Amino acid sequence: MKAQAFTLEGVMASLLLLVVLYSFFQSTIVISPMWSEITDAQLKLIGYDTLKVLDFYRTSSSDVYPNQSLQGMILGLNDTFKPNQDFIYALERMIYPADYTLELCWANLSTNDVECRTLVDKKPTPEAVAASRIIVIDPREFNESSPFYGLNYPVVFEVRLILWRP
Amino acid sequence: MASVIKDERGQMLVFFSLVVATILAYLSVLHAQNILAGIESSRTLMVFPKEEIRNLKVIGEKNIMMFIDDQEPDFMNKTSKISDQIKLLYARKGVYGDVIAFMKSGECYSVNITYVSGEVEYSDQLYCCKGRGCV
Repeated sequence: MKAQAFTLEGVMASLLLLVVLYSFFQSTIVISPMWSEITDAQLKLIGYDTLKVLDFYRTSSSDVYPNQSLQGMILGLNDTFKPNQDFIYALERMIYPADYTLELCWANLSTNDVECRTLVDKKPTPEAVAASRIIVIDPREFNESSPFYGLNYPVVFEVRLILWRP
Repeated sequence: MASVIKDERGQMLVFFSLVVATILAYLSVLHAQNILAGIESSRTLMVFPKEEIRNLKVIGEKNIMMFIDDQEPDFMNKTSKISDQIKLLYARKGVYGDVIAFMKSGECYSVNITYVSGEVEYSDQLYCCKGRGCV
């Protein structure tokens, strides 16, 4: 009988330890897919901050948008949709050492559709995060070489910045 | 049991191992719950679209202000076009976002800002005046 009691004790102890181990590791299983979100949140924030800094507000209508600003970059675009070097330099310094892809989207009111062009095209990793900013440009600002020249309403652009760690 | 088992020390061992294991199980569940609560609250904070909402407010405050010197029909027409484009751009993300000016009086206007996603519903109204900002 003593041996049976010891056996019973062993079985119960092992069962209880299994319950303890299961409860403990259950948390690890739930957390593991979320850790990537937490590490990428920092990169996402860098993306939002960068776009916010590059968004230029004029205090008067006589102010000229600098080349480094989002507005300056869009106003300088021609049919090739290649951003100016001042903008690229400022953007790359701000997001360093992350790699990036830059997209520009706008709504075509005649087709009720959204059109997008990739301004800087690189291949993102699966861990890439996206930040975006919406800006409005007065149609009178576009020059003749701009693909948006001739529109008679304010154009709303969405600048999408996709970031990842190389 | 006492009549069957002469030595009861084994039973005490079983009993205390049960007590210790129950305490350990309770602590491990508590530990797991704490981690989950922390992760969930930080995740909720991260997924809240504060940047998107701020962006819409900036459009309502500063971008619409660019057209304040226009006549009222022109102003309303332009802000309506802005609203249409914002709705289309946000619809692409599965979100309803809108900035629409609905009243202009002299150098002031009122604007409605709306952001509705599966998780967040936000609506705000601003009254903006040239040189005085928005309230």
